[in-house]
Amino acid sequence: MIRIGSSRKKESARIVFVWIFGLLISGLALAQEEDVTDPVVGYNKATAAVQAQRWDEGLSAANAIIKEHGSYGLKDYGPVFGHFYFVRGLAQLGKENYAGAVDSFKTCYEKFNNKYLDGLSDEEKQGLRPNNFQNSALVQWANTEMKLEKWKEAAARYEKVLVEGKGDSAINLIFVGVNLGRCYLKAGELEKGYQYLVNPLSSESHSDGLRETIFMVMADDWTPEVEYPRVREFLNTYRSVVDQDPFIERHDRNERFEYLAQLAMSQSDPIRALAWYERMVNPNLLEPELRRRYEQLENRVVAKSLEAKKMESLVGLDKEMKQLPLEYVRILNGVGSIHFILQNFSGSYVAFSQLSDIAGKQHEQRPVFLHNAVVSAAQTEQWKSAYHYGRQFLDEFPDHELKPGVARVLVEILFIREEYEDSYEVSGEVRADMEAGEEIRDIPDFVFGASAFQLGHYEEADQELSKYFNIYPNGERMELAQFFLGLSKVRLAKWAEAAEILNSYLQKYPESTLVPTALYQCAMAEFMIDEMDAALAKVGRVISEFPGHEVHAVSWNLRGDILATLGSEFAEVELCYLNGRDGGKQLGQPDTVAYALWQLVVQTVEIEAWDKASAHYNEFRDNHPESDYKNDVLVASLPMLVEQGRKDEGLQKLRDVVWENQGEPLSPVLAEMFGSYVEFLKDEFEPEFFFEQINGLQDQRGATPCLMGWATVAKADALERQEVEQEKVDKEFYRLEAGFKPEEQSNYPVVRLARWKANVRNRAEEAKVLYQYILDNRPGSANFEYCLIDTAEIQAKSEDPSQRGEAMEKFLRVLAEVPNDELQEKAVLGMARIKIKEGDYGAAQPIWEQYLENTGWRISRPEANYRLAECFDKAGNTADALKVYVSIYANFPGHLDWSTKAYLRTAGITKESGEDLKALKVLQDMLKRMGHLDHAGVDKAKEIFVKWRKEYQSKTQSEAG
Amino acid sequence: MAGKFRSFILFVFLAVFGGGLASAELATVHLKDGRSLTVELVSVDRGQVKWRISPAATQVQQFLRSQIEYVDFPPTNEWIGAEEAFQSGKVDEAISLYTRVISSPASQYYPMPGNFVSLAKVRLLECYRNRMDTEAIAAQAAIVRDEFSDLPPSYRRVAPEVAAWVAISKEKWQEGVEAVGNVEVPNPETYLVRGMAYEGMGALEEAIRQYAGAYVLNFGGSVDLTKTSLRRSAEMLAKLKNADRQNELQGLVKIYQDLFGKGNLWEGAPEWLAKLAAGELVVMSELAKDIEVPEKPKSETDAIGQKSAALAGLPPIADRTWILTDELPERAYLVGPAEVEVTRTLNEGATQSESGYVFDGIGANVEISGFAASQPFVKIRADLTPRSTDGVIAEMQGGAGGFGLYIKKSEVRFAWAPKGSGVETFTLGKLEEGSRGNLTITCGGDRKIRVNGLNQGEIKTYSLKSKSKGLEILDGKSVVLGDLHPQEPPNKGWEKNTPFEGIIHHFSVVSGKDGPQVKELEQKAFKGKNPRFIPPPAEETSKEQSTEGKK
Repeated sequence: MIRIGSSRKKESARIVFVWIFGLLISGLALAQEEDVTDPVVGYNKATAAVQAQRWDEGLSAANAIIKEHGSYGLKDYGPVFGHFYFVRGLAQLGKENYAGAVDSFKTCYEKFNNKYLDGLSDEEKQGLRPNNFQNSALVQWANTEMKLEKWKEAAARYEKVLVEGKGDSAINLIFVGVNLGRCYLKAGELEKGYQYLVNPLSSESHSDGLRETIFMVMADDWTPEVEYPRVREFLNTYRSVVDQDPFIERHDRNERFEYLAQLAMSQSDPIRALAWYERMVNPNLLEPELRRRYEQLENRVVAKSLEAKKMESLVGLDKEMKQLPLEYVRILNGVGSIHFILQNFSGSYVAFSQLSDIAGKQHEQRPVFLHNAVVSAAQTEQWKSAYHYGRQFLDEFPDHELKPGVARVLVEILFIREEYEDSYEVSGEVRADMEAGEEIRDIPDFVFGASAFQLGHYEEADQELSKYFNIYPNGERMELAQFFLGLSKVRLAKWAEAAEILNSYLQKYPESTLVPTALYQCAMAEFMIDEMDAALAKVGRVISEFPGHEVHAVSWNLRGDILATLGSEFAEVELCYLNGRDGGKQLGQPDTVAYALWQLVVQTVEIEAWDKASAHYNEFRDNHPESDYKNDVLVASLPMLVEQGRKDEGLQKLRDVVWENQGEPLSPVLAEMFGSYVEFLKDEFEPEFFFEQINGLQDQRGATPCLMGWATVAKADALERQEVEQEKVDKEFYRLEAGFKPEEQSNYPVVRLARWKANVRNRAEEAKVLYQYILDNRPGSANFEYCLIDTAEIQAKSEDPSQRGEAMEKFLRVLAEVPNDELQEKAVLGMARIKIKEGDYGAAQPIWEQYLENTGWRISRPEANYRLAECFDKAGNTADALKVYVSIYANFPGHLDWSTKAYLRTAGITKESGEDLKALKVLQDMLKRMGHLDHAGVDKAKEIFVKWRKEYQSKTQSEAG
Repeated sequence: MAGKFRSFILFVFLAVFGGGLASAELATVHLKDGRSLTVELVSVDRGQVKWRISPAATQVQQFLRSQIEYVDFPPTNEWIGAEEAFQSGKVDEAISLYTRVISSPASQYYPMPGNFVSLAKVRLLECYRNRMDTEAIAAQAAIVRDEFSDLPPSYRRVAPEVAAWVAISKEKWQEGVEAVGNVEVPNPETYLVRGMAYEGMGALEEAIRQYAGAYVLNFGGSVDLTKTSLRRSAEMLAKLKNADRQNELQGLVKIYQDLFGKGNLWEGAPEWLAKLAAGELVVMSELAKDIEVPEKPKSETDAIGQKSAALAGLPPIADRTWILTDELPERAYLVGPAEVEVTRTLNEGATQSESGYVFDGIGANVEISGFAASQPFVKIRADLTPRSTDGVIAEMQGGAGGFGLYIKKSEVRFAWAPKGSGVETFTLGKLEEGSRGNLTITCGGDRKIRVNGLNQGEIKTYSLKSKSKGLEILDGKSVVLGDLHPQEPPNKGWEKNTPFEGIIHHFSVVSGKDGPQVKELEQKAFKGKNPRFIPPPAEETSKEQSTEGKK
């Protein structure tokens, strides 16, 4: 073993020389056999081990020397001994013992600094060698501090290197400068860092790799800390450093750019985020290259032993390829989100529609993709696409939290697309999961109501839109909701409400494009409630302010209607309809033209301007033969036809219409036109001709039972009018009754036959069967309400309480549903009578009072008064009863059924009160007035009067006696 | 056992190097009958391709052009350079390089389908499409159309986008729309031409939507395309004057200005648009709140330019007479007396990492061309870390000779086969899998093989039976690292060697007429230094320094 000690340094140097010589001739093997504590051997061993990355071995070799010679290394060998610390530091670095490495590099640099030699004399310097790694140690020290993220300390070290390492070819000052710049950035000294980095980045003489590294350092550590304009400048100047690389190499940087993009997004800086996304390479572009590699490997013939390895590599490549579309989806999501946030919905639509198409149904973000696609499409008015993705969303994610957002867009799209059945159904469905009044339910509620309107469910539309109106005072669709609500009221003939809502609409939304329509509809409502001035003003506005609008011509017509109703001059009215006619032609609205022509016929006939009427009639006949108004025009023109000697033409046309509709018992046209035909026949032709025509209809081949029914009833009615013997009338009804099937007949003949049975034949039950057919099968049809009341009246007379109960229900139904005063009166009367019949005077009293309060009801006022008095009477209120009884025989003396009863009961009450004389006077008064009449009540009065007079006479006589 | 191995090596060498004509390059010929053959090209002319099955084969065969669908020719240097520029998005440079390819048809296999002249014309068309140069596209499309018969089948079609460009150049807008109407997977260019066509038709809304497809999907793509589509989209939107879309317009002009316009809008942009771009951006910031920021990718804390710890411990290169092979700019060298351009081609999935060429063990290989094989003095260096016990480290095949370096059951074996001589094989030492080892083989004019390295501590010398000085075969050969036969073996029954798995840190062959010339060539090739695998012992360094000092 060769020992080197401080006292033997000269010798050791010599020994070293000799050893070197030996090494050169015998090779490394000799050296390996030497003592590891020998500095030369140890150094060689340590450096060889470090070179081969055998860190433990290198560390051990370096430590052995340091332990053996460290205490006098500087003195004996000079700064060169620092090499051992340097190598030790490298080994420690390799072992990731950074603290130890820092210590070693620091020792190498500080303790074995070459300045040590400056203070020595030449003699003392003899044999001492300098530390070649002094600057390298400083660099490695700084490098290690970077590893430890001690940025400031490392920066200080690099700064020193820049000064001390000048001229040291071992030191790459470019790298040092870059590292220094990075440390500055990391330490928050952005400007200094920028300056150190941007220069080498700008230099095209540096390698692409170095410049790419610098670019990424600045991207990572500088750009997030500075304002975007500086980043923009940086990217504009240097983006080619990273953009102009093959895709595979660019792809390696995607992860870091994506991080920067998402960082910017989280800081609400979409432009900056997009700048980073623009740096990323589209992963799909890598696919061909990876596919090529895959296919090449797949086709490669390998030994069996390599099959597993090949398969493993194929799996790896396959996995890599499968990652590409996922990454693409992630990036496109980011880019799409930016455009979405920027409200560039054209851009976000492209991204999210594609994501919805390609990301697969299992992708966790799929609902978001679909949602954003729907919203973007809706915003750019791509309704078909919005519907397409919206429908997918609702089908796939019925319970997702984004459903309301999608649903509200979707239902509105359906509505806009005029798919009202769907918009009605979907909006009804989606809003079921939402609380009324929630902001999210606003649109679905509106769409539900508005769709109901469009589908003709006016009652429902009225209810829904009224609710919307109240629940969402600031609703997003308040304007349209109010508009459709107004229209619903119009359709429901709730004229006053309609006028109020539409007037309010016009006030609130004077700039709306729907103003002309609202004006027209409101005018119509006002016309119906006789607010003529307001209506005129509105149609006037439409006419003057909105020429060419779709309601312009109909507004002329409405103005004509109003003026006609007001009795204005013919010329003024005529002008309106002429303008309505011409405007309708211009707008391509045949219905409007037809209506105008109808009204022109009506107006000209009214003033007997037959030529004009004829012209309008002819124009209508020639151009609108299928118009809905054709029958109205025919009826209106009959006087003109008569006047012009064309009554046969009129009659024939009426007959033709009747004949055309004879197969439809429920057709209102048949009912109306048969009525017109009969009236025209009756008014314009001789009775013989009338009966000839009616008989002809009855007997005509091909006539339906329905038409025959009408003809028979018409004949019966005519006979009744002629007041012929009842037998002749009955004969017609017998004829009608034969083989009568109510299902083949219109309602009127059925009702007429039923009444005949009930009133003439006293076969109430048979009548009831006929009525019941209509009640059961034709609700809402013509004469339905008469069936209701007639049936109820029959049942009211029954001794069966359940029949009376049914009668009561029918009367109540009439009260609730039939706005016909005559029938209302009958209903109240019927109800009151039932109560009297049942002896329930307490219940009867208010009904009779209700009857009497309506002064227009005249059918049975004496009865009503008497019954009311009776109710008072039964209740012990004889005073009120007496007043009413008196009023009956005073006011209705001719109604003997009631006036006699009233007299008798008045007398009875008076007598009961002990006023016998007064009671006799009441009877006396009655007999004076009615004694000559033949009536049971009068007879009864006579009888009582005789009896009471005797009683009174005997009473007075006994008192006198 | 050793005898068996020797016979195996012999078999291999007979199969690979046994006889043949001057070498040519491999090409895959795709025939019209559906067959594909990888062959060694002998010659290519207008009417035929002459080939042989392998370098060893003596029979030259031919395919008539009428039989050939197309040929995958070995890429020429000009083609490779142009492709690299194109793939890197350096369009101007690519145009220049492709034009250069076109200018020398004879060397580019023109006019056989698959030739690089015709392909360069296709690429030029793509370059013009990248530039969106409507006129140039229309003109080049006609040129490419005329080349169809000389192109592989997949190129014999007019892309819908090209058809649209041509229509747009003639202002036939409807035709432009129809040309790309049925594209199933539209790309940014598809959207762009659609947008232009719709714009021409005056369908502004549709044009805006189509341009959006271009700039949204083109992330990371051609800046010009994104800029153009953004600008046109913004212009259309501005024309609409729709107040409801003010935010959208602002977003577009902002993006243009801040990402592509260096802070400005395009020339001639109206002032109000510039004001809009300058205004505060309206963003739906509440949406951004939900965005999750992913975990920051691990920050590199390694200092830039930090060499491996081992290299950092060395004296400066300038102060040394030697250089470590790890310090050389390339990982493989072929050095000879002639000035030959050496190319290094990574095949079959071979990659290059910081520490060398990485081989996957299933056929990845690196081909290095330009070997001066006719020289009598050859020095081979290899530094490697095998990851398996068997594999081809390097093989050089030449007419009637070559050499090979293998690892078999962790033993490093060397095969030497001069022209006309039998194959001689030597076991040089052991190298365990996972360990890094190096060796230098010198085949001198004295017909001795000297081997240093593999931690054997001495130079081993082997005598050759062959009388040849060197391989005595023609120059211009390739050395293949990792696996000589990436594709189907050319001869039936030929057994493949196991491909190499691991890293080759360095491989070099230096050849010359004698030792001094080789030394001289080494100096020239390796920055004037002597190449070393590991640093010399400290004293050698010291000696060098003291010598330098005396100088």
